[in-house]
Amino acid sequence: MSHQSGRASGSFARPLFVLTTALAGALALSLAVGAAPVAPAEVLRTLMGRGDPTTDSIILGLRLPRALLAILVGGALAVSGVVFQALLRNPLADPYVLGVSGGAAVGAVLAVVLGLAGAHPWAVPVSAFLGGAGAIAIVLRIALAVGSTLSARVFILAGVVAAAFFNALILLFLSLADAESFRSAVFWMMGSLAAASWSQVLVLALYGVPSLVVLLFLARTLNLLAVGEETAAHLGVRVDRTKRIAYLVTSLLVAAAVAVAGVIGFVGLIVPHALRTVWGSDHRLLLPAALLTGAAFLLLTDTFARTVVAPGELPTGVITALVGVPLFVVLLIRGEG
Amino acid sequence: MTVFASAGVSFTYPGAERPAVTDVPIDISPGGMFGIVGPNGSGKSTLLNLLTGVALPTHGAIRFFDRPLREWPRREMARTLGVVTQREEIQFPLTVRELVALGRYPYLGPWQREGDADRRAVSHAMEVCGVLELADRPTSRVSGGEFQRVRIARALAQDPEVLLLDEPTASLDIHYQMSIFELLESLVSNTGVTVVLVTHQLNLAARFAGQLLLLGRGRAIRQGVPKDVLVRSVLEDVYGWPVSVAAFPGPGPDLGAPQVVPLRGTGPRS
Repeated sequence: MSHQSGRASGSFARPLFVLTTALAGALALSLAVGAAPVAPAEVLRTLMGRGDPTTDSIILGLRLPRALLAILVGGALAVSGVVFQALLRNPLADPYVLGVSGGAAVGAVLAVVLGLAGAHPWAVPVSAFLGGAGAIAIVLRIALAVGSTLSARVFILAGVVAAAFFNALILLFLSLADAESFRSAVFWMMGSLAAASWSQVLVLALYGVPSLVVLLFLARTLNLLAVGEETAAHLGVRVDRTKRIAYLVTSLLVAAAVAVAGVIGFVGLIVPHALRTVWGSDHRLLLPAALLTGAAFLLLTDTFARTVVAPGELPTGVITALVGVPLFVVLLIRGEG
Repeated sequence: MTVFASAGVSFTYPGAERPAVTDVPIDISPGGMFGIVGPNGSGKSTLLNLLTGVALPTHGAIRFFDRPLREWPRREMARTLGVVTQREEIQFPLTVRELVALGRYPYLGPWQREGDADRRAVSHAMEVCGVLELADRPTSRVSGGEFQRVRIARALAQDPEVLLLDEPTASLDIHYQMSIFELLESLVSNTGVTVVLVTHQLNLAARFAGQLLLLGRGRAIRQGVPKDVLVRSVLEDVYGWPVSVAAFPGPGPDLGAPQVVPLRGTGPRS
């Protein structure tokens, strides 16, 4: 717990400026590097509409939508991680804690196995989103059946059992799949941004930005809920209503991110954790900081994933875990020491 | 004017067979310390939840400053009533100052930053509670006794007229027990705040509280000044254990307050 305790509340601007600059740098890098390197000056010319057609098609057709999708997905996952950790008062909660990833994976795998994937580019994302939303409905239903207050303990248990059930379903579908479907389903579950398109960017932005605004609006209330629901209630928070809104908005945001990118792990766990260690637990800073850091983190890992073995590429979700786990261990040791 | 008033409230938990609180009349006057005492399971915490509005009475109604409790808007309530709950575990890194500053929540809009008045209220609350020098320390690095004072400071930062505390001295040593009670007493006499507390510490309650309410099995057994409430026969009946009650020999301003000592070697009283 080495966060800078002396920080005057009035200096959110500096950390956010640093993070925005870092994100801009990551974006520039991701546009410039790849199977065909493009000089920074060329990138700039293309962005200003004066590039040559080949560069235009690489930057505008491939790298820019993929970079923007990485920003949206990474930001959404990190923010969701922060919100779930606060609501569940558990620093180990991640965006998938309520079984959204399992439900989405069931939807995606089902679409792949049934051969819908080739039929329409939106078949897998839509099917995955419906699976994720279905998982939320089931977990919420279980939690509400136990008690109207949505206790964190019940929620985590419901999420765990739902995830186990979805996992069994996925294995069942995979056992019935042919070799090619099997391979593409497994690849989907590893998480990848390779299928990024402008239409995906647009849909996720239209959907994600309002969700993020709602969550930012709840920042101060999350500060209280993270301390304790009883305390929050005594300070004037409408605890049940706030929790329902926050759970619903956040899980649907995660479902949307998973639908386009598959299950990308660790962004939603290590980014919030790292930020809390550095800047403490004020969600007015934590939420926008997580948005920027999650975006930059996924953008960099995705750039790495598609360049390190170019022209081939590695699944992004594998890289986030390979980078994320050691980072998390370091943070844990330094934080507790 | 009364702070809390009711002709009698009852509360039954959903699914429970018998009520946790049965027809308890409430009459708490402003200014002064009011102690709620009674055995485990006698309904003390339930009564506290009824007073804070967390639980709604199944029968009867409570008036808070002569206005029905359920008509109080949440934020206005939080600016009038500060509550220190029994326990709280902080899961995330947070400094003492940040925790106390949460007390300003009912004064601020969702995007509004703390102003000078808020910062002054927070510093003042920490100073009054003697935790100003801990301001920049993580809450994970303060002792149990200090943490309790920090939580009282947060309630004071709400700038309340009434302070409600649930067993504020549970598991504290005598140094911190006394310092908490003396702090609460000084708040009563210096700021005019009304303190209502639930406690198991009969002897401290007898020395500091002006009025006591003794609960037993969810019913009000007695209310009044300590020497009328802490009476041997009544206590033996309510607690089911033989006791001796003697006047505090002093020295101090609480000379003569009733002090309860449970007897040994006799076993429970049937």
